[in-house]
Amino acid sequence: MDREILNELTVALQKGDAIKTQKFVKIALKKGYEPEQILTEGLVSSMNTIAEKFKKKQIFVPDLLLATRAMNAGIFILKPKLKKQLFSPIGKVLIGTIEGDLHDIGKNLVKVFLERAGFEVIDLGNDVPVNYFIEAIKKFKPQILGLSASLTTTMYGMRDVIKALEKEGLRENLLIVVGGVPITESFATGIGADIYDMDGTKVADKAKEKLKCSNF
Amino acid sequence: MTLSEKNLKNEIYDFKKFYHLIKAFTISTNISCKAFNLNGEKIASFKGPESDTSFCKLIQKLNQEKNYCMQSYIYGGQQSEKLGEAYIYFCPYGLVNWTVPVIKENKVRCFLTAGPVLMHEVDNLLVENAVKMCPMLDKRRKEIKSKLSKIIVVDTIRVKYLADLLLKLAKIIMAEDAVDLNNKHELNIFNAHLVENINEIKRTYTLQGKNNKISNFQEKEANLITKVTSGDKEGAKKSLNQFLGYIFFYNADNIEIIKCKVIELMIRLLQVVTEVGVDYNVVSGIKYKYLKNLINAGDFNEISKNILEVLDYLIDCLTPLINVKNRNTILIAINYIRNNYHKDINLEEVAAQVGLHPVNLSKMFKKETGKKYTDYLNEVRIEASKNLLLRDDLPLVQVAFSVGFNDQSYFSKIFKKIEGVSPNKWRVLQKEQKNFN
Repeated sequence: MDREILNELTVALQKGDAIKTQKFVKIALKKGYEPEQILTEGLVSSMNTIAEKFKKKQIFVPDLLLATRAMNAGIFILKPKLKKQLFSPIGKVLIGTIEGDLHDIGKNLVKVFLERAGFEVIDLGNDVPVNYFIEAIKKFKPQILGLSASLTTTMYGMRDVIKALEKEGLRENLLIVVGGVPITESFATGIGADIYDMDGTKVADKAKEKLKCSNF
Repeated sequence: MTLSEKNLKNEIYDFKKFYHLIKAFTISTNISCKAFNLNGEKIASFKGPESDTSFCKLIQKLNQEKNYCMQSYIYGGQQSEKLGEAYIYFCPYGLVNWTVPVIKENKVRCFLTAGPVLMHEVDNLLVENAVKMCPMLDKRRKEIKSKLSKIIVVDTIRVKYLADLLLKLAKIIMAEDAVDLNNKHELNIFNAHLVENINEIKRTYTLQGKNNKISNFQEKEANLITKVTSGDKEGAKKSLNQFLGYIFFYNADNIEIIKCKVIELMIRLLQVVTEVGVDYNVVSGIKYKYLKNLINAGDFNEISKNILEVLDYLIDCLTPLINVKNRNTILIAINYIRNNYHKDINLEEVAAQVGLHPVNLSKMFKKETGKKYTDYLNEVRIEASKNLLLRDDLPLVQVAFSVGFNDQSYFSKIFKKIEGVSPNKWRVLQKEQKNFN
């Protein structure tokens, strides 16, 4: 299969052209690309390139905003194709980024893969205070809670959420997934999380496995 | 312009200056700017001469109860304060704004928000988003499209610099309080690099395994100490960042170990700077303060903030010392050259006199005098040769040997390079000059 269309998609996204991004996603789907491939090799890899350029100061915050807009536009087209049509989801996941953290690309990616794996995902968005997490858990009663933090200043917010859950008696019968750029395996274990992977695309499978073993 | 002057005057040091700066911004850029208090209420508004805000007015009227705009102003303001820089964002309706805080006496008094602009042409996504946020617009797509089209389109790079500009203006208004904002910004940059370093270690760890752990750790500490003692602040911060990333990666589950390692590092740094000559009393004061801070630190972030402050402080203590010490060293070296130029002296010999490695002396010499060691030596020799050249009876070869050159033709070459004429010609010119006088 020629990769030309994915390359064109990459160019459109890096220019922040939302309309063209949508157009190329549609063409790629028509040409028979798997939605996951379009997501990882088209959208996500472009965002990684953009992040690198940002680090090297070749582009600035407004370019990131525009590119993120284009990515979200692309995901909007992909989403119905990514979701498995299940009559009964295999589990319910509540997901959000820690208070003070506005970086939600990683979280959104994990969300897409969780949905693809058959989970029902309730997204609390970014910059979520601890008590919002607690209230939402009481309300939606998920089996899994996903926490994301992309800064050293916000990663300890995950520990605070877990502590608050313990205090409220909500920690049992709940699997906690954590992730984000500064998060390491030992940090995840240290704060009492159940699931972690460096690669956001693998989290969904790990969650599925763990959920099977835990009989919640 | 509408303005609640009374509200604003209390919040700002120099109201007149504030007024002029914001007016200059809006007129020169044609982008509107508003001032909000901490509750998101508009306290001043400056309209760009040709900017059109009819879309905002319509939507605010229709969505009055929901207050999306106000919430986004408050949120943008809080973020800009936290980051210590301009916060650029999409408003809930997809328009671009940027916000900066105005601080007085360590307290945020108001926020300045510039915009709205668009960074792309109006497209259906923008229109549909507006309808989603305000369902009452369902049947008015054409109208909103035309209103949106009146908003100016600014490319991304201009938005970045317009945001920088607004921040610079705000800093003028804030006067000394801008220092706080700068510190916040620097700390955020330090933290962002820290995340990158941790991520880098994560990546290499999966590739190489645990083998490099110990050597890397010692290497990073040694690197840091070299940077500190040479007074290289930026380099030291970078090394500290790598050091922290490293200990965090291997000890993330145990904050106490991280604390111990950082305290060890601090003690080591204090030792090093006192060895170089910083007064012990100067550093012992901060030793107890930061020892306490580090022991009580609740998380990694607090630890890194504290050790960064220690590093900053120590390098500031060292800087004048390093400069004075360098100058003294160079003076000794210069003296030695001036007294011994007629001998066959080389860099190694001079370096031995000041107790430095020849390479380090050569670097320091260039830095302090702006000249290379050899160039300086040649200058001294040529200067001395002039006195001898004035004596008619002395052959060139003897002049050359007398001032330390081993070779007459090399002497002539250098002489010409410095004086612009050959030694013989110089001699003739000097004689002519003398006769003329």
